[in-house]
Amino acid sequence: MLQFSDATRQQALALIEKYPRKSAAIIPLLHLAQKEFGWISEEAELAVAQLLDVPVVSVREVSGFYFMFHKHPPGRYHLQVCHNISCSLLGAETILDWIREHLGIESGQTTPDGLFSVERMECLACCDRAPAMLINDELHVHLTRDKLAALVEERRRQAPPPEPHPTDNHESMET
Amino acid sequence: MPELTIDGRAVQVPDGTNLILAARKLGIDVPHFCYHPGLTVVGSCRMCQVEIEMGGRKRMDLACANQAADGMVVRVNTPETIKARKGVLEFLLMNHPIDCPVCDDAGECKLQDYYMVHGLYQNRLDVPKWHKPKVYSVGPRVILDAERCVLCSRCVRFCDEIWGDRQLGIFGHGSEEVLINYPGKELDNPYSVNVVDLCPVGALLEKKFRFQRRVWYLKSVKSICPRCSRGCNIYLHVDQDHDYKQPGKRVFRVKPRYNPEVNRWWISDRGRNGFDFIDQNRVGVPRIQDEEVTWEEALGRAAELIRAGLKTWGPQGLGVLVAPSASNEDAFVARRLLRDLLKLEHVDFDVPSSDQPQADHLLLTDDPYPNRQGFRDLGFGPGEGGMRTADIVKAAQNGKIKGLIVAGTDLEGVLGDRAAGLAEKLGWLICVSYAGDALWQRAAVGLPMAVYAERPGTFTNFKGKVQKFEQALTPFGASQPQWLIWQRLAQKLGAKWSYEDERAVFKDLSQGKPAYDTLDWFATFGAGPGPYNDNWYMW
Ligand code: SF4
Repeated sequence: MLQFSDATRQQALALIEKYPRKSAAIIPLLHLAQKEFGWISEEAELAVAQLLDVPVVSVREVSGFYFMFHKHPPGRYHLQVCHNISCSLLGAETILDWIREHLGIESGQTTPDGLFSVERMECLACCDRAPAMLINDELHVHLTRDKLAALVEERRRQAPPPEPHPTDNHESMET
Repeated sequence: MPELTIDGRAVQVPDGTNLILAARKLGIDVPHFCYHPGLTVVGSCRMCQVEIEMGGRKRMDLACANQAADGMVVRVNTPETIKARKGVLEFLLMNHPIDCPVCDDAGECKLQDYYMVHGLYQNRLDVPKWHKPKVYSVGPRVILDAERCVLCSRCVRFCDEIWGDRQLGIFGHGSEEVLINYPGKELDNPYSVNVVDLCPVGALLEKKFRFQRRVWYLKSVKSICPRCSRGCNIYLHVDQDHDYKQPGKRVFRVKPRYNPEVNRWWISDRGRNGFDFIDQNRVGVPRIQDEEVTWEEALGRAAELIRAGLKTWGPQGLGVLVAPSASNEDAFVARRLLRDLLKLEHVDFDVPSSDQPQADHLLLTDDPYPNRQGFRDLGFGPGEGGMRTADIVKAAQNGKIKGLIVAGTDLEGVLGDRAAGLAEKLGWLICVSYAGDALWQRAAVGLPMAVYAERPGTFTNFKGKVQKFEQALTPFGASQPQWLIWQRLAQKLGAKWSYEDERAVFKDLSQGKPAYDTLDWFATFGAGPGPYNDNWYMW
């Protein structure tokens, strides 16, 4: 059974305190879980449900609704490409095409070296600077194929020597 | 009590009544998917939009989530509301497979009905539809086609609010959103099939009824569930006219019938699965030993055996067991024959059953019989010094009781192999039965009995409520209602009385008994007063 670390647990309990109903803290706790475990697995959902005293079904209904919660272990750099109206009109699909051509991955997939993963995102609230994308937590706007190529190249160079992938981490915790 | 106007007509409703119920009081149907009077209001389907005018201001809003107020003017059908609902329908049909010809729900589907009323427009979409799980077993008794689902969440709320366990959820986002069970959980609660009634479309279907019959061939008859002592109000859905598919199958499904005092909108899966005995292993011809005979011969023989038994063994040598699955009318006539006329002592109805229900917080009781209370109220039971069931069976096994009459009992289920042995120990066994069980095989006289669905009658539930069931089917073969078998036997044994039909028996048995006064034989009772008074199980 997956467990929160003591520190995260304390943070979670403090968060729960802030809300009139425990179930209102599902989203903040999912964020904590994602930070701690890297992605939202069934076990992570269960850990959240237990802390909140809600059926695990309710946690899944929330985590499944939001694309910001990863349903698979993401890569070291998680490219979250908005494909809502403004971004689509200004070329979100060409961005996704570039990723497919150059990284060989589709939405929901990770490169074999674990470096990049991609997700079709819902609105990032940057319609004025479309097309937009998040790489992990940083926002990149006015994207073009060239700009994207540079961003990816930069990440590749920056990449630290292969460290244990969040998945491996996760699995070692399970066993 | 606020008074409001709906589509030009004034109506007064109790405080807190929402606009769907208020309109229904006038016979106006406000289209809706997610609203159900037995569940919380979520207002998610947007189908019940109406025009509400209040204090000079007009707005379009949900009928389910707005309560009636004094002076409110509501318009259900205006060009704007119809356009709004058309829009909702178009969204719902966008990814819907439109497979009505092979869908069991066709004919009782809200999406289909509302489309016929509002739509008949062409699909404007030229991109492929989303695909979702189909023919997916979501639980032991329910099958899911998620592509047909309109995401109303009625089924989710039923599990959560009525049963009390979140077995289903709506997961995902946008067009990918899907109603399904959580991994590792099943829709297996003892009331699971209620979600099939609640589902406004053909997404959730009853496995037992799947591809059995088109719903428009079914005749719906008001009945009472015979599978525990709650006496839930039901409809039996029968079809005797299209025998080509499954010869001999007449009952196809059981649906709940709203009764606020007994079962509200729900019934248990036990009740829903409890009709197989009506069409299986039935007996329809009277027998003397192995020989098929006429009713006259069989009844004559039975009367002879009883008379001779009384002479040689006396009343102490005879025992009678009648299962309280029989109606009040059966019990009343049986008592007149067995206790009043023949003066038998060892007469009992507290017979065991091999089919024990498990009581829970919702409806099921732990009594497998529907009419134990009725038998008690009518004074059916042993005379002074008479034995109860267990002792009667024992006495029959050790030879103290020599002649035994059983009616509708499940002795084979309870005694197993010993049931056959019991018959062998006796001087004679008279068996009144609907099923060809071990006792029937060994009876000196076998009298085939009609089941409750093949005649009208009344049951008294464990709280003392007397409820009527209607005749849904013609009796199997030459079988006859139990009360009539007792009556004809009584006439052979010298009784001067006779009743014309069940109603005459009921009139006699209810004389001077306040518990029965509320029941009017001709009234289609069951549903209480109010806007729910509904002939249909679908909402
Ligand atoms: S399966 Fe039926 S009841 Fe459940 S959400 Fe879908 S349409 Fe509603």
